[in-house]
Amino acid sequence: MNTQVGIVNLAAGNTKSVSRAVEVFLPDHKLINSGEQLAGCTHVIIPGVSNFGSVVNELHSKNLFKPLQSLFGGDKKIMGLCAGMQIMGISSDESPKNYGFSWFNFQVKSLVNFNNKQLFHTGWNSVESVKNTSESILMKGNFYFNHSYHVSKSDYEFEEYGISRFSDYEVVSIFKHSNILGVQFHPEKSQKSGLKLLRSFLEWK
Amino acid sequence: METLFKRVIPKILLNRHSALGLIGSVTTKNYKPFKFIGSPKSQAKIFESNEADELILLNIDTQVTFEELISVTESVSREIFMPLSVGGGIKTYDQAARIFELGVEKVIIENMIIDKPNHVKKIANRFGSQSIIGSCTYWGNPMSNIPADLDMKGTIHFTKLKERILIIEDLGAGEIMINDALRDGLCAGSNIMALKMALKNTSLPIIDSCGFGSVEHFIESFRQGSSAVAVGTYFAFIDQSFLQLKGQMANEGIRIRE
Repeated sequence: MNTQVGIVNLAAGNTKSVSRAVEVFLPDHKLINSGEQLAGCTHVIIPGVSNFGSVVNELHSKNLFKPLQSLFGGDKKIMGLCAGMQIMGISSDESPKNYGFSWFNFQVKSLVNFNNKQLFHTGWNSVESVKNTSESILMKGNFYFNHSYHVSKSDYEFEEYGISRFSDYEVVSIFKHSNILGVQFHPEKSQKSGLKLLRSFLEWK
Repeated sequence: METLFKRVIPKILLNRHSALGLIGSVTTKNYKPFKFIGSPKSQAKIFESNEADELILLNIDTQVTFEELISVTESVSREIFMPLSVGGGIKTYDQAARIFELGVEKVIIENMIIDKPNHVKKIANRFGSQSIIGSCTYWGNPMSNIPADLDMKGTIHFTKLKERILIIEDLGAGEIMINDALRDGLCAGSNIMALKMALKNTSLPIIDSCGFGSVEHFIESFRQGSSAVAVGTYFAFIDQSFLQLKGQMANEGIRIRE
């Protein structure tokens, strides 16, 4: 079957940059605005630069939350970026009233310093592969991060994952579990290494 | 333990060319347009191929309309696969939202901090703090007054810098950029005194901007604790490639992405 990519169209997000990066490999992809449009997609990308709650609310308002939530364990390959990855967990300190897909039993927590002041993991950092089973699409490399909430290494035992070190934290920066790929960084903004990862995702069968 | 790579961010400053009428990229001296360099789009292409860490697009011409800024931003963002920050003339929440729609990571806000603080908070709530760079342009000489003919509106005196930094942090920005109007374009080094003061008063990452003219200036700023440096003139005139710059910094033990 030919690869059909759907990018979830989020206004509060980096949909446009993700779309441009995917275009490098596949000019023919669609933006997903409704649950019906997911039919026929082999690969679905959930972007996100924004707040956890904004993403969840927008998905609900477009009636996309439930259709996306039901994709866990299915045939479609799903990639979540940044906030699009965080919503795969239960909830986030960032907006305690909103609930994510709850595919994974993790809670997204704030990055803080010893004074309990907010830290921002903004910039380029390296990814170290921690658990890597098969010929995996997980790779080491340098990627662009921009977030202040994170999934901690100790929160969930992913099938495969990699971490990045920041302050005293070991942030889960990439994971693969079942048909899901989650990345905390922005491959669409990580130049060659980011494009390489996107290509690997698109080639994931 | 800080493990992020130090970032070098080229600034593309936008100004309308008086004779040609088109919007081009310029270098400035004390925030006055100094030399016309060329099209923002081709500048962006060069920085993409040089693998700059990020890019800043800053409109410094009050005559350039918001719609024009949108169209330049669009042409630039098509060319790059690196983070893009845009500022200069983003006056409201709605305008910021339109900039984000173009695939821009961060908005750079300065006058909005004072004119419409509630809009800044709204941006932080909707798009996250990490999407806001709070910028402050200051007059870097504590002993002299801001010159009356300084073009950059909203420039504050060095003595007000600390207060402004606290306001920016309070409104929910995720990064702070400090621009010394006195050192802008002079290539004589950035304002280390201001940088130290900023670092003492906030836990936010600091983008040190204005005055970079040699690799030693970068090294000094990074050693003092800046997370990133933003440079305009340095890459415009000095025949210095990113590769050389990064190599020299790496040799001095600065953690640089190679």
